[in-house]
Amino acid sequence: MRVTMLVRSTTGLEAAMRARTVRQRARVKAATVRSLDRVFTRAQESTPRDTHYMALHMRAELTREGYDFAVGFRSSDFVGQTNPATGQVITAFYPVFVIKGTRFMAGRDFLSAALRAERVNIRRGYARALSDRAS
Amino acid sequence: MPVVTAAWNAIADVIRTAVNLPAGSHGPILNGDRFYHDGEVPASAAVGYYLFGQEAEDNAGFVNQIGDSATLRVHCWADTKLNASRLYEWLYGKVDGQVLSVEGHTPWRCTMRRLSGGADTDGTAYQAIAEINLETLRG
Repeated sequence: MRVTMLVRSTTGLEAAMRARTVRQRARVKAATVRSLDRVFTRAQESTPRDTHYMALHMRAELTREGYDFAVGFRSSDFVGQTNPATGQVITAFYPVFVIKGTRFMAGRDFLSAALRAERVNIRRGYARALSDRAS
Repeated sequence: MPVVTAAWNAIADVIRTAVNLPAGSHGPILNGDRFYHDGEVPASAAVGYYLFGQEAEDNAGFVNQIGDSATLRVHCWADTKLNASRLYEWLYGKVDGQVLSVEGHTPWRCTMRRLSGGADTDGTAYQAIAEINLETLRG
């Protein structure tokens, strides 16, 4: 089973369905890439860093034919892998515990926070992509 | 006092002063402290308890203007998934739809929803993660 810890933006597909022309669809895809870049950058800025392994293994993925995106982590990048900074094999998908928290430490959901912080810009980008005045 | 601190205090007061505490099939679920702020959970603390977590203000801030809002995350930790859900439901009954008033600040309407859940690192404790939204009612 593939375990993930991702936040997904799903507004791009909605925008694509409202697009009336091929050019608008292309602009929606371009807007998705720009949004992905902004959310990924924000998430990177707020990722807790100890050995930097988690930040280095954050994924940014386009989904649904490039109209939506997801940012986060996959367990296969962690469990069974060796952290070069410590030389030790990683035995747990620990981003889950960082993001959701443990009984001694509240979660730090920097993924959702990054998406929330960019929500207005994401919607604005799609509105511009669908506008007839967009270049 | 920062508004968001007052918001946490208001939630803490609700939990601290409640009389009918959540109970499972084996009796009360909450420990004697009932809740902790992040970074203040004693190593010896037994579940269950509420752990106050991440807070987020909206883009305009949470500054006593009508419509301003903030969200607070509360982690409901217990010995079983069922008891974690019971802690969530108990708190939901106390705050969802309620208007909280704190001296020096405007009233807030609370809405609460469940975000997710999960197990602790060793699998011996479980949590339900709640998000409480506080919306300023009067400027």
